[in-house]
Amino acid sequence: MKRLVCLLMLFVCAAVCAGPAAADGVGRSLTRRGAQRKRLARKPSAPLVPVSLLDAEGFKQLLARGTPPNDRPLLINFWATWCEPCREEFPDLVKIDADYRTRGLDFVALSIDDPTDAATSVPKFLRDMRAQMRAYILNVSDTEPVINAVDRTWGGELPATFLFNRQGQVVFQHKGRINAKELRAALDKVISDR
Amino acid sequence: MKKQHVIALTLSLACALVVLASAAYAARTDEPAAPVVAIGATVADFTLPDTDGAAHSLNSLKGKNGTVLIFIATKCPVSNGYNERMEKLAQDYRTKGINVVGINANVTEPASEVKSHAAEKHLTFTILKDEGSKLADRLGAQRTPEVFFLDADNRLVYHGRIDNAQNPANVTANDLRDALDAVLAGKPVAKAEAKAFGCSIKRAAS
Repeated sequence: MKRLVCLLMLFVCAAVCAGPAAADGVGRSLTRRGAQRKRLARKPSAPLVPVSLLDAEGFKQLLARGTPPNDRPLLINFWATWCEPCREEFPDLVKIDADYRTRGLDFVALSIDDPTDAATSVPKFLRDMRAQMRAYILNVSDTEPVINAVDRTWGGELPATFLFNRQGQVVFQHKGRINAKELRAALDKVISDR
Repeated sequence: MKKQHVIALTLSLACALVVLASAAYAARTDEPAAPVVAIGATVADFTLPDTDGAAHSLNSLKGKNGTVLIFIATKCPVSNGYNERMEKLAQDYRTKGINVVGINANVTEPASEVKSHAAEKHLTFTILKDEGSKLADRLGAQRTPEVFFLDADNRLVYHGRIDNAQNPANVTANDLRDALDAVLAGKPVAKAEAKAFGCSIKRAAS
């Protein structure tokens, strides 16, 4: 009987852990993410990720990146530390960055936190996430031109993720928390398109 | 109980937990609806409950010169950054015949939370609870805070941000107030749409 009870508990634990992953194929439970974040945060050796301020001209240059065609497709994720779905999707984005960087992806995490957070909450969060992608905080007096430059149909809700091909055209966009499977499929396609 | 029965029961329980956990994870979406009300279009009357459950129609809440619908949130720092400005706006324009109405369409924020939040933040204008985000879907609202300013005939004359900076000290464009003053002066609204970053409205999964 003891063996059966143990078996029962094992199945229950497995089901609880596997449930959210089964929901979208790639997701993990928020509880697990929170625990992971805390675990990572305790590691003192991880350095703060450098976060630069990006002004209007810098943003223009980021989108243009010289004269297309560019060597690498560009993925921009607009986020903020105060945005819950942004925080929730970040572990998936970190994985995607790690998986696709060597395959030629240029990934930029563009925070709209207050520029005064460039040395505090933003790099701390990125460190906790073990993020390695380029990271900026938008530093513009009016955000509307930035929103419109990316997508005129975008209202500015966060998070928002845009994938540009080598010609600088948006080939995938998602407003709200990403579906990692869909984003990976788009990345596979844009990277294979030469 | 036979061993096979226990195993079958265990597997059933595990499957049920998987389904429940999947449903809970998928029960929220940030996916916005496509905008459906264009500038100049008339917004049809609607009825929503306030945070005490009392029903209010648009036509019962509208001011004689117009109505400002603002999608707000209890937990969104951007929306919360505008609490004082929204309350001041409501007070400044109430006497001019324009009423401010807050709308909470977040599935994650129940009416009781909206009510206590309004009391805590001293928001005196009416706040409606948009269960199922139906009005948000109808208007195409995507974020908080997001404004839909309707004139006396319920025509949409301004859509978008309140102003251009979350930090009040950095505001250089008072887009909503400019639109309100234009309508009160009988002039066309110079800038009928303006954007800013905000929190996505948390909709229930369809």
